Amino acid sequence: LRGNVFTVLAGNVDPDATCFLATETLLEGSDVLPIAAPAGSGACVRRSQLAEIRGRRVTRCWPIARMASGKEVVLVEFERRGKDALASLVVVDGTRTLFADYTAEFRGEGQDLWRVDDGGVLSPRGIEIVCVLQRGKWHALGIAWDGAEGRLLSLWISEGGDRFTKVINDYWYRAPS
Amino acid sequence: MTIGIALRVDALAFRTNNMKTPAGRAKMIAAMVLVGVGCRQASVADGQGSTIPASAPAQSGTASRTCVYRENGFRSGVNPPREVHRVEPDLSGLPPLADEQIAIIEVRIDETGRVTESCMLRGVREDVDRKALEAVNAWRFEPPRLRADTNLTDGERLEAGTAVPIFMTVTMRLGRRL
Repeated sequence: LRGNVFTVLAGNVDPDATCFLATETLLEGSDVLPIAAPAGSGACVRRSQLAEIRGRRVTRCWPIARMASGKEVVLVEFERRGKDALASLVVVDGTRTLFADYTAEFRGEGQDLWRVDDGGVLSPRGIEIVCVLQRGKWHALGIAWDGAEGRLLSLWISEGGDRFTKVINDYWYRAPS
Repeated sequence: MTIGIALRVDALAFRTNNMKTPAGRAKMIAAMVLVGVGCRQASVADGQGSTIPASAPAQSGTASRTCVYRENGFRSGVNPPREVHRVEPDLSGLPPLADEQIAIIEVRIDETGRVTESCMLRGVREDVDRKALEAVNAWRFEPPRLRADTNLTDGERLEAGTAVPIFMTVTMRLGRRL
């Protein structure tokens, strides 16, 4: 075992909750957007617009979360092109559409694609928006993604344009019993 | 210009020989939040083999080099490091940035609070990144300490940070101070 365990000194955190630790200076001037469960189809009703932006047909779309500021997060699976598979977590509001891309290489029907043992099927189950920060144009998106064998944790940042870039990526393995 | 720091959250990851046993996967036998242990956005598959999603990690920024340090021990009850002296990057003479931008730098600090290693997790522009790294290397931190009240050695308080070198993600906003 390696690493450090910190103690929560104030407030409450659910057992086994996934957290990002940040100093106050990171949060200075940033709005931490409250995250709520999605309502209805959310921005998935605009899937044709999402397809147009990416120039790629949307095959499936799931609402993931909504923020009080009117922003929403949806999970979109795009049409596969040969071996090139693409899914995105998309932050949508009235003025901007920001894509956090997950790419994968298709290796045959029924083969793992997005997660180990997923059978090549993308699912919104296990995807959690841990945090969303906004500071002007700047957005940070914390994403946790549970799979059969563990949890992937990543932090994405976007300043301009329509893409997030992944900055931090780590993994929380769940050992078998 | 403002400079901020974010401690990176890592996760305990270890493997057993029967990790492919379906019945066993649901049970988490250990899960704890750890402080980051290196620039691993580019090495997701490093040492973790099939526990990694099939999707490839996205590339980010202008990572100038890779930090390879990893925690070599496990410690419970740690006070995280805290910055006590910041040096702003000197961007004079450089072409202006169009907007406020963010660079993220990971640093390793020793038990005296000095930065001994730094690497760019997400850069802005090569000339700016170079200045940012220079500045961060001059930062000073209050080093991490084992918390006396949770220390396994009967509450004995250890010398400051002697056994807990920690990597941090340093977030640097380049632009006007708000």
